[in-house]
Amino acid sequence: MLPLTRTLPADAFCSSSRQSRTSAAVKVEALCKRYDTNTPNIFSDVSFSIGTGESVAIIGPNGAGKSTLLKCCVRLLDPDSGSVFFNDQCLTTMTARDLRRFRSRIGFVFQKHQLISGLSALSNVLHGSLAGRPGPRGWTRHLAGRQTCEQAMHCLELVGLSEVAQRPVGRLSGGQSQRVAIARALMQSPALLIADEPTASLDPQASEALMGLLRDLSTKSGITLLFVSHELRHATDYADRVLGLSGGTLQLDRASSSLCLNELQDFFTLEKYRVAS
Amino acid sequence: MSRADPLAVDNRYGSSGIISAVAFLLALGFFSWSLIRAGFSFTELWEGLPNMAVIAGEMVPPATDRMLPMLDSILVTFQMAFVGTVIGVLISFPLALLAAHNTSPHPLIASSVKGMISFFRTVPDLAWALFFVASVGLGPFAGTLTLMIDTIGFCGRFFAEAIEETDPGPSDALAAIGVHPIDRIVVATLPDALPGMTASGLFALEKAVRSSVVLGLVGAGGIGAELAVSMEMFRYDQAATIILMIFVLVIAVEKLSNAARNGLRMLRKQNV
Repeated sequence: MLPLTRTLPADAFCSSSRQSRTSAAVKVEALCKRYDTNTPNIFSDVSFSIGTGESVAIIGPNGAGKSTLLKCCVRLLDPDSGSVFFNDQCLTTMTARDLRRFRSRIGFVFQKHQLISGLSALSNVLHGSLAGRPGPRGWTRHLAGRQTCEQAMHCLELVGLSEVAQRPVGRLSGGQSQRVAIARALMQSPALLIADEPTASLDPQASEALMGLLRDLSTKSGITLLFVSHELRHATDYADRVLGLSGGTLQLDRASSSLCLNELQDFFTLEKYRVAS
Repeated sequence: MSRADPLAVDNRYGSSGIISAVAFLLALGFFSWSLIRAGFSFTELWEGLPNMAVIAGEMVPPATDRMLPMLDSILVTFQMAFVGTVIGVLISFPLALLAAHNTSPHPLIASSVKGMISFFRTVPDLAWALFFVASVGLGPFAGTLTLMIDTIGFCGRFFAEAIEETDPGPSDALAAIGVHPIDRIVVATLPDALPGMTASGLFALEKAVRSSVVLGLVGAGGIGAELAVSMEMFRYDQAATIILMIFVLVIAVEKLSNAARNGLRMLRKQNV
């Protein structure tokens, strides 16, 4: 058993990949976030960059601030300090209109799919087109043009759900609903796809299929992928790089090819004891 | 130190001290005073019973000599209620979007619109009817305006509540991908709020049909005016016919409204 007093070396799990890349799609600099002035920071001084087309996993124990970090990356939550750059554009200083334009190039898949249950899978996917083109054409399939409908069907085909296009989302399984959410994100033709624990409510088989789908989309379409997962194997199998967030700071930033599952388990175990001590 | 008896029965009528006793006596005193001020009298009730029997006797059989004008009046009554409700619902819709905290452009706007809706709701419809009769004259138009205001007060509140009770998740998910707030309201918030809003609209129609009967008594058109005239001319048989017609109309609207609500509920169940 590991001694409780054991602490992590300063950069035990960090490598040179922490330095910013020249073709960074996303660059996060010294990001800090706290929910209340009387409480400690959720995280502080978090910096990393993600190259175009790279697939990056964020891991960490419960309450480490992984989901908060993702939300800060697209300013669904405003960070207290620090900057986020997307293709060299600084998000933290953007106006509401610019921010909407910026977000239209980013797909965001939530832990719970957050689709509109009374509407069909096709209508939900069509809503993805609203990101780039506001107005009635993206409201329903009846108002959308033929080309937009065909594009939505193509997105459903990519996730293997074209046969349930007309079915209300409320009657789809959890895995199918999550695939519809991904199809909606694809409708945006995103440069970056962010997924916050997309397999949290799925069985192991559906989880593997979904992660495989995300990885395929990333490699085939060149979409930059940033996802949070509690499944350590997903981090090593489906990501190029793994970021470990714990104790309010980034404790791990390594290429997944240089990590084995045991090392990640060590990271979790050490972090658990470090936080406890 | 004394210990509570674990087997003691909960004494819900037990004494709770002198403050409760004084409060009870004050309430009792106020009720007695109110009985006097309200003119409540068992003697008068007793003396009035034979008159009630006479009037009830004269109501049977209900008159059929003025059926056509009466049917016309009941149709006008329903049309007043229908037009007032439809226009009221149409106006309530944007007002509710401005009043609901999750769709309003600014908290100050939300508070102001909620205040206006509360004012429409709290002023009684008879007061509105008197105001509109004085403004636009006797007749069904004054009644229709009254029912419209009444519907805005009712639907404005319940529409706003239906919007506020929607699941914020789908709208937030669309916000995350940069969808415009108006598009988010149309595609995420309204589909969730619409069943509740439809049910409120149907209740508003039922309420308007009942109210429209009374409005005629103050000159705002409809079958209420016929009822007032029949009672004033001691034609209780005609009054009975009108009361039966009102009963049939209210029940029919309630049944139709229930059927529509059930249909919507079934439709929603099929989709979820």
